[in-house]
Amino acid sequence: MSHDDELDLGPAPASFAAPEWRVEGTDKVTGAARYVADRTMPGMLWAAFRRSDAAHARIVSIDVSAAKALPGVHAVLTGADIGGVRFGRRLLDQPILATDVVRFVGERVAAVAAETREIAEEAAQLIEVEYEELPAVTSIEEALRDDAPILHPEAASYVYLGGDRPPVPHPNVQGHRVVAHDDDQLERIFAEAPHVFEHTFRTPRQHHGYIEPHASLVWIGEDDVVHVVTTNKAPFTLRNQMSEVLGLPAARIDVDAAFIGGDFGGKGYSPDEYPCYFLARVTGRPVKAVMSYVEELAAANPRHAAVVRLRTATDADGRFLAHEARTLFDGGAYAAAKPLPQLNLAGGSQTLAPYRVPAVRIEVTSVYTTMAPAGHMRAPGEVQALFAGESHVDLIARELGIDPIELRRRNLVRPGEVGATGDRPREARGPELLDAIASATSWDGTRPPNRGRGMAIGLRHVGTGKVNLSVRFDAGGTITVVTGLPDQGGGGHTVIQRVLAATASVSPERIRVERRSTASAPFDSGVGGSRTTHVGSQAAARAGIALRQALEDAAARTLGEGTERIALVDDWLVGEDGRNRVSLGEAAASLVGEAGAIEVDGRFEAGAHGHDEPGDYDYGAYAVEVEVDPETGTVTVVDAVLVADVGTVVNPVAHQGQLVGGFAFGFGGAVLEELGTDESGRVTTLNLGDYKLPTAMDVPPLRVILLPTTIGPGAFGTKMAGELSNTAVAPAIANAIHDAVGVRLFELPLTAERVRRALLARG
Amino acid sequence: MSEHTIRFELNGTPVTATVPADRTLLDLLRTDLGLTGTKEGCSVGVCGACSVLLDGELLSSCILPAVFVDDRRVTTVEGLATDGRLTPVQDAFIRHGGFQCGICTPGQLISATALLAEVEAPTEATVRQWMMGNLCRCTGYEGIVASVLAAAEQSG
Amino acid sequence: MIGYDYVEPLTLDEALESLATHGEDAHLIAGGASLVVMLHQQLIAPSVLVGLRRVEALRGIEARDDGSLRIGATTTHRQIERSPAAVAHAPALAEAFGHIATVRIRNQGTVGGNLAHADPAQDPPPILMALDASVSVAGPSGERRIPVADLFVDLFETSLEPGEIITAVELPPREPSARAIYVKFLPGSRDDYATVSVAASATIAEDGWRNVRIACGAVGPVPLRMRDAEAALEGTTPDDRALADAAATVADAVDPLDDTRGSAGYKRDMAVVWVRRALERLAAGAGR
Repeated sequence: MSHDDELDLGPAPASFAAPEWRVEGTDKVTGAARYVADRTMPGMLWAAFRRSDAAHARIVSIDVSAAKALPGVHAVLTGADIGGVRFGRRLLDQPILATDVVRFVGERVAAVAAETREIAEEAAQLIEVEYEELPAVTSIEEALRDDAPILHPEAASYVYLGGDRPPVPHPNVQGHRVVAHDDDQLERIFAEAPHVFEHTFRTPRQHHGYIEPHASLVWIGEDDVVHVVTTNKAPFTLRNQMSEVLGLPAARIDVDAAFIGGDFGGKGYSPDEYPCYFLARVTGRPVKAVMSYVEELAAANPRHAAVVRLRTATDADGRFLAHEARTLFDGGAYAAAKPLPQLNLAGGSQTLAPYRVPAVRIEVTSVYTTMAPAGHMRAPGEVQALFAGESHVDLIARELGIDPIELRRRNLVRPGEVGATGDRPREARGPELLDAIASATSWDGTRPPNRGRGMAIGLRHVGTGKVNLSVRFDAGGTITVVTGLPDQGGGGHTVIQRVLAATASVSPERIRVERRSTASAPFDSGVGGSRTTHVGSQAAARAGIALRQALEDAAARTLGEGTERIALVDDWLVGEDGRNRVSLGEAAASLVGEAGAIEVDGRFEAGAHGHDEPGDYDYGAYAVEVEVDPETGTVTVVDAVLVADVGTVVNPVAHQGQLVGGFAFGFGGAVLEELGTDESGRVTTLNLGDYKLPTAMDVPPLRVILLPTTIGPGAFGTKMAGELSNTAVAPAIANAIHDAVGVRLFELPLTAERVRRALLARG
Repeated sequence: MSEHTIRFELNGTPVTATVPADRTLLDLLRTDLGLTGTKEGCSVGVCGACSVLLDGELLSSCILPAVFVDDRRVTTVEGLATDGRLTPVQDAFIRHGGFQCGICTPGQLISATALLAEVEAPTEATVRQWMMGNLCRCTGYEGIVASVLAAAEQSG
Repeated sequence: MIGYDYVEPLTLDEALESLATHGEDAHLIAGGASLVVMLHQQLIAPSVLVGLRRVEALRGIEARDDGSLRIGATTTHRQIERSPAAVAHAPALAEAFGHIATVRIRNQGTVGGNLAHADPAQDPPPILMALDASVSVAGPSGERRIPVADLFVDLFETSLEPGEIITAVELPPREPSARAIYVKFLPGSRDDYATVSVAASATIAEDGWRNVRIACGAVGPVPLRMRDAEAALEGTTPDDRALADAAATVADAVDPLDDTRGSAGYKRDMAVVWVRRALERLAAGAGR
């Protein structure tokens, strides 16, 4: 970010300490909040899809005659009908509807629009597709073999948004990234170092588990504008992608993100909006698609499965000398769900990110397979890398006989130092977190048999992007903030309201936050990427300062008769004598005068910091105590502590919710969740009875220790919370299991059966 | 397929509807009657987003045949607040972080309402046991449990 | 399209008549907790659904003077869980019904529907088998009783004849000193089907264990009685070693399937562990 335009806001206001009343709270507890699936339009049709039964096959023929003949069906489209158009968030490699080849079970082969959802689904089943099977490629290792079938022979022709696609070392590679420094020294150090440790870890595909499946509603207005109501959390970005894919000017696409019923990274991918557009075009009707949960689990955009190979050299005291990591991600059949330029998960490099390592080479590769396209999921890549890295660190500590906290203390970056991945935290708080863990737990205490404790620490950057707000103070004294920032539950709108209230010195009750579609809201990067509180608070502070100035200027003209300076303080207009003259509400009409309103903007854009500049991060560390039943392998978490390096907290209730919710999310990923597949890659856990998410009975109690700082990049020093709390859960539990019963699990989830198998193998 | 005319009380108002035999209560509410507060999540009775009360009993409307509500009393999230006045449960969910994205919230509120009708002053363990049937991916349940306990205190 | 007719008889005779009229194309629906999902997934496609919710004769829980208990087929799981009569008969009976899924499902699902569904991982069959329960069945050729242990033929398949309806579950009187216990092994989520479940019952007296019943769920295509283990203990006063030896016989009796709740091998091992643990708890005085 640029530091030239930093505001001097002073300390956080006391109002931030009070529990917030969410701006959308009443709507959400009365059922009035409308999500995409709740929306209907006159004449609306329902879409359903014929999906591939084959993992990899050539389409020999598609017979849609029976589907077309079904009463109530308005249109049936195949890939041929729409001309083989491909879409994506960065690389347009996924066909909207498959044309000649299908590459995963669940790929859309044909789309139906019908009077009702039931008819559309029945028609989709009546479509007959004949396939000629091609070899399936269900593992990363298979995909990278020299003789592996090339899944995208025509890759060179795919459109890449924003420049040139980075080169790849193998045709089945989506993205390839190397993070290195002093890597010419690696082999020498590994050869000479007193200790070298090498381990391989695996993590499975997992689903975001939002309770709201993807949904979209598309119609073409009389003005020829394409209207898209969507669960997408970045509506402007989707608008721009649709503009590229469909060849329409962005001004002719209006994207409206309704309330979003959970995102966790999965709602940036919009596979149904495109076929709905084509169905809407051929039928002249609004068309709605709502994924079933079966479709969600079978073929949405799950977390990437990973294989992480680590090699680390240390000196005799356990100081890291060199680190080599190879992280392989199963990207699935298409890279379409990946937004980053590298077509990769940046988090995959974070294996030893919190630590100082003199020589490093980290290679992160995302690979095409014939599985459903993988996408972003809460701290994408970090979860996989940190499970590996923090398990690896624990193993090193054990083998060297050094306490795991002490080993970390020796290696964590200190102020001014650079971490393994080249990041230089503005505040290197790792050691402080270790102190907090040591004092909050009986780390060195003795424990009964089969009990053990483990810890893990990670860090994650605070995100960047743009938020723009249009603010209007009207004659009734109401302040309306128009934003394009969607609501996915993080509380961004309430952050905007509270920061605006604090900086304008008005009551939050008079502020209304109005989310609008892309046609009538100023540009916004969307909600996610750990950016919302940072960027949103900065935009709101700018709007607040501008509004206060504008109101005070207006008050000076009216109340002050042009000679007296009038201040706005806590909703009161105050004269130079320090006396309250009149409340803002009472003065509103006279302040706005004939214009009827006072309007200001709040704009903020944060860009990535330069390579050598200090960056903003949140550290998070977990300490977990478990009890293991060695006979069954069952693991019970008896204590869990999160120490969180956080910035200024604006919404204390939501902030706590993000931390505890992140723990539950990480806990599910650590011990329960795995998208099971058969040998062809077909998902076998096709409902929430088989893909188990943690319940209120499953999530262990969590103690949260906040270590606040005020140097965050957001207004008043805010940072982020949503993605700091889910990453370190799994390695902390794995390390505690090792401490309890002496076995190491190298693969997630950490199930009872795996614990028991490891115990039996040890004998 | 047979069609059935059913009469029931919906949030205190008598309703007559004609439904095909395979209609679920959820589709009757959302699609036919336009009452979209009740949500569809997993569609197999696990997640609880579609929770409703039938004669005060907690049920999954996604797997409940609409014909089963003939002669009975249905309560949905829209029927909780009266004249814009939130119930203690609704109020507590806002104050204590009982929701984030809000998609599971109607079901959570209905479930909590049923619990407090049956157990006046539940323990945390009872709340967790009962609310186990309502999945929430956002909150980690701490805010939900706190909300239900606070509502119990408020009502009691 | 799911597409079926729905009829709602008011009496048992009318229900039997509906089944007789529509034959194999008809399917009964009580609570619908499992059936509606199966309809949606097109695992079954009946042309007629016969709803039992208005049939008075299928309802209610009745504790008889002789100590037996009759549970009407359309009694919900939750009604049994909360029934003072069920608790008085055997606390483990009510507890087992309380282990089923979640409150919502227990409010919808019925004991008759559950048994007819014949899902081997369900909670009611093992405890009912351990308590020597049978089902009363009405059909075209009159009424009959089927021991619950003989009801299950294969995965989702019962010994009910076409046209028959389960009308009630009958539990025989229990000796005052009889004990019973139900344990459900859930190594993952608390809201799940059992990885394995065990119900055990015995009359434990000075002169030894009598009427030993051990039944397991989720260990094969049908819920199973562990007859070798029962025989090993019958008439003995087992020490820990004997309990473990009896439990070890379970390994050969079970025939588990691989699924998301565990591999076949793990379930086999866990059946042995949990049978032993259940027996140890009984021996230690748990259960009534």
